[in-house]
Amino acid sequence: MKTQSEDDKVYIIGQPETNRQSRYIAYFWWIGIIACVIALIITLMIFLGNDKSNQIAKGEDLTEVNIVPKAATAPLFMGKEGVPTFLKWVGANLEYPDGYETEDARVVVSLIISKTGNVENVKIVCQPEEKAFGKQVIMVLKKCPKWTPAKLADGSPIKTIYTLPVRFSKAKR
Amino acid sequence: MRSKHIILSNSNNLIRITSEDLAYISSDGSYSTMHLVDGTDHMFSFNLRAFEKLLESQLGLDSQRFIRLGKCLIINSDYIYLINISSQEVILAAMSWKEKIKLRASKEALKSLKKLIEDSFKNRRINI
Repeated sequence: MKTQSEDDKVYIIGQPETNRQSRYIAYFWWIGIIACVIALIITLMIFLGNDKSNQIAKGEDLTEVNIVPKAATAPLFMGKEGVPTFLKWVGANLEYPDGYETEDARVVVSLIISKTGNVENVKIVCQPEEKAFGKQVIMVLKKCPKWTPAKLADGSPIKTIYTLPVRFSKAKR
Repeated sequence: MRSKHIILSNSNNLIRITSEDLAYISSDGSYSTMHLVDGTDHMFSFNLRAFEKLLESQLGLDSQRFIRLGKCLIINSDYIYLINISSQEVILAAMSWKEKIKLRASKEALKSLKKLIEDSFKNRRINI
């Protein structure tokens, strides 16, 4: 009875059962090799990671801090209003050019607030192919009310140059 | 496909049969008895392991119809008719035979045999 389990082997002749054992051994070999490869990759990554710890992460440019002497003043729209009011005025008075109502466009202009407070030298920095949009912006800025010019610390007026981007959208967002 | 012949000889005799003629081989230690489908048998003085090697070398792929069943038996699986684990029996039969052949084996061996055959037929199980 003791050796019965050993002798109770049942197998097909011509297919030795040691196949199973050698298959298991083959599996173990494969698993061993794959484990070694993975270990190698992990150690490589650790080494590369260590090198990088001396580098500095590149961040973004922080917003520019503008230092102006306390006594200097910015130009004032319509005598005493700020730039947001000017932008609102532009939005209210700028109209879509006729015939182009189905198109979007972006126009960037530069303008100078002169020493006397007039809007001068409106130049187009960038405009789409349809020049009508740019023309609208120039036209509206010609009608711009007078500004109080910028002043230096000693009170003398000075020119200011502004860049104004304008976006025409065919639909309300 | 023509089946190959098994040739066994001792000093006095030579026997030549096809694998289909061989129903099973039983063993009582160091000698084995070949049982043919017509009921005749022939005894040879080598053990079952030697018989296995003989079948493998002479029949090649054809030897896979034979299954080693435990310590004492090699059976021709083409003739397996019934396996009954509780009564510890495997019965070999074919339509052309006059009588069926009943063989005894251990429960463990019969369980393994049953599994082997089920696996080769991909587990077709029907509730009897």
